[in-house]
Amino acid sequence: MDLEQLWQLALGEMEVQLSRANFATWLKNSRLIEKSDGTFVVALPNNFAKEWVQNKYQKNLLGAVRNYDPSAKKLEFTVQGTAVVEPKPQKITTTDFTKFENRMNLEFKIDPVSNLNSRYTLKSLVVGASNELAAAAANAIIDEVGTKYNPFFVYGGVGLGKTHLMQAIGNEIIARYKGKLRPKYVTSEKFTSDVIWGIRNKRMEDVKKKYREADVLIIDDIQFIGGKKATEEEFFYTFNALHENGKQIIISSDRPPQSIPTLEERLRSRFEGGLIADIGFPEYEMRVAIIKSKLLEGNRSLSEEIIDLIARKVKKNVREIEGVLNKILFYREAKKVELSVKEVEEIIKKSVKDFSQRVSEDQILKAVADFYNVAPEELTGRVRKKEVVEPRQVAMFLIRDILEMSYPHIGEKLGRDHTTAIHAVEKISQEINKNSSLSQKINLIKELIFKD
Amino acid sequence: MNIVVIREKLKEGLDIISRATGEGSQLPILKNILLEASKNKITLVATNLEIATTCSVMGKIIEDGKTTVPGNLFSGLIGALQSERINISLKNESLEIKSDNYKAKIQGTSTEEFPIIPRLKEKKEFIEMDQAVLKEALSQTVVAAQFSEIRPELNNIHLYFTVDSLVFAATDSFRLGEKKISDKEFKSNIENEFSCLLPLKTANELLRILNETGAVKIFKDENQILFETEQWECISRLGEGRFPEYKQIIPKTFISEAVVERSEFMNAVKLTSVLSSRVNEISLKPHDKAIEIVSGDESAGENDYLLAAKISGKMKPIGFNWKYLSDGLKALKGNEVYLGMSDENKAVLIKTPNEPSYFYILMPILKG
Repeated sequence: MDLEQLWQLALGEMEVQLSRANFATWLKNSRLIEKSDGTFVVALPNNFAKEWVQNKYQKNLLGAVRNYDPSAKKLEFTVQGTAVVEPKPQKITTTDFTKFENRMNLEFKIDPVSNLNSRYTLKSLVVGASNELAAAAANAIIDEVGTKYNPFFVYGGVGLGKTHLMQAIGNEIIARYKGKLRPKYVTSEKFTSDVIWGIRNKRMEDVKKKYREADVLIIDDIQFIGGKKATEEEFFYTFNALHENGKQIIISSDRPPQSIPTLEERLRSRFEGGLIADIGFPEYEMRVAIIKSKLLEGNRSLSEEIIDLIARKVKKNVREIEGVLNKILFYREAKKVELSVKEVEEIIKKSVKDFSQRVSEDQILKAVADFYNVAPEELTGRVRKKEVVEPRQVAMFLIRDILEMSYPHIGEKLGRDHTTAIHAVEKISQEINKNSSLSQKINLIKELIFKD
Repeated sequence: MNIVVIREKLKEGLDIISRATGEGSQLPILKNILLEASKNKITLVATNLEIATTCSVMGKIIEDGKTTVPGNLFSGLIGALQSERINISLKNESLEIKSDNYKAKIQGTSTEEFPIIPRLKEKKEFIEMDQAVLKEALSQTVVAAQFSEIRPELNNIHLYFTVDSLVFAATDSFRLGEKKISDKEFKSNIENEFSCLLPLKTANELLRILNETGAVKIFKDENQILFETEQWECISRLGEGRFPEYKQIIPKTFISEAVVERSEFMNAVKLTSVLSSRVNEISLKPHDKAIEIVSGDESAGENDYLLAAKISGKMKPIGFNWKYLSDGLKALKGNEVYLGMSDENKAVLIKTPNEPSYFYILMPILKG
């Protein structure tokens, strides 16, 4: 273990003992620079830090260092300016760190350079009908970084695995090209705050440099930069600079580019220049596969019956499946007995609440009306204008799909005959498979419905 | 702690240290000032971890003790008090401030939390001078500096000590000010020459607290510098990085030279600047026994001013940022100003005629 690793470990221990402000003020930018005969020399950026650390933290620090290197007997402190300290990338991947890793939560698995979380891999990504195009594209991109599909735009609802897919591409590229290609992952929020920081501190050059150095730029939730003028502009230039140099760009959003209303036209057309792939809601088989893979990851198991139950009942998104699964495993561990189907049902009910209990027909009607910008009364009214025909059919479809209401009931609710309802639901069910813009609309409406 | 102090004295002390507190720092304790009564001395301390200022205040000490209190609050309170004498006592980390008709309690924080003020390893070697001399040297050089995030080494005043002089220099890469203090104006027992960087923030703080009378002693080690007077001491980290080798850019030969009256020049610059363009440009053009100062903005209008001048050599028109020019003129002393010019794109030397201790170099606005 070299001095730097040792120091990072010791600092990790100190960090949990001290308040954030204290740790940042006194121990940030400290380094272990020398070791001889059990005497370790610690360099601090200024005399204030030196005095303080020497007087207040010496004992604890020595203890922390000793945990990892029992030969440590004494710490000495010296002042070395920050100007010479290049913040070195911390690598937290070697086997030395398993002990450390176990204690720290997942955040610490984030590689500070690429900002990627090593938890996300392609291996752990469950591929099914709803995301197979995106997954195939991901594999193609890893094979031919920057040339095959550039930019790669992936969209889909909350918690369906966009972030997982994008981070997995980044991680895979690091592994495959052994650090020759440098991916960088940021959320659009981080990008925005960097741009604001750059403008405010007149250090735009630094921000530009930071992003233009990446070989693979991964930006999550791009819809949030829509309407932020300076950020959009900076992103546009960054995008062009990278794209011209054949660097790979990967972008995610909760909807396709043409549906982000605030996005500037020139950006939109650029996004559409590469490959656009969507990730949809996982179907039953995929949900089962996801649950199994999560169990495998955690080295646990559940009976087929319970897996089936979860897959049937929890269908909103992958994140929710994870949440329910964790809860079930937790209950099981706390109670130390296998759970019965009934108990599992209870847990699911409590944590998810079936859609039918959460959502009313009126909520669905309102969401549909809001989405299409029509009055809810128009949906139930007699008018047969084109503008209301589609919303009306979608509303019937959603009531059937989510609440599993009978056709006569749906017909009654919308002031129609039950055959009209049957026709509408069938029509939309078929359309969804053919017409991606319709299925996208329906996903967005579903999100509106389940938002609260 | 139990002390009685004259309000005026305490206020003066608080004024000296208060700006060194770490407002806006991550560490809340830095907003506090430390108040200590011991060994017949009342001491006030504030720090932002870049500099630390300590000031002693006269007063009557009934009982020793120390605590820290929020700086803004305490200064505000003492500033607004009208009484001549104040009694300050400490009970369970709560500071009680009493005068004839007023009583306040401020919650203090234990001094355990307060940063330990670093000391120099040894205080044998020093430079001693009048506070007024140091103040002038700092004020004449800081005008040429501008805080920059991009070139942190320029956020400093460069100090260069040789046995017979101490040279201060600062630049923002558009202009540069250099002041030389000769050994007639300081005393020192340092035998080796050295150079170091004094952070601009520290220089500005010193400018605020230095007096017109009294002496100041300067000590340093490899990464700190200490300024000490009878009343206060201020310790600062030294700046990092390499200050540019500026000697080579000082113009030595001139194509033309001009001498003008300083106060009129300043007025002329101020007046013509009103109509200057967006880049703050004003131009100096040669005229018969005068310099024509011209400025104009397409959308606003234009003006020119004829300034009597003694010109030698063939002067070429030259353009400046009037703010930078005006900064330099203000930093000069004396009634007259000397301008040494060469090419229209070369730096201009500005100083008081026959006064070698200070000069200001200004880059013109480049043409073409």
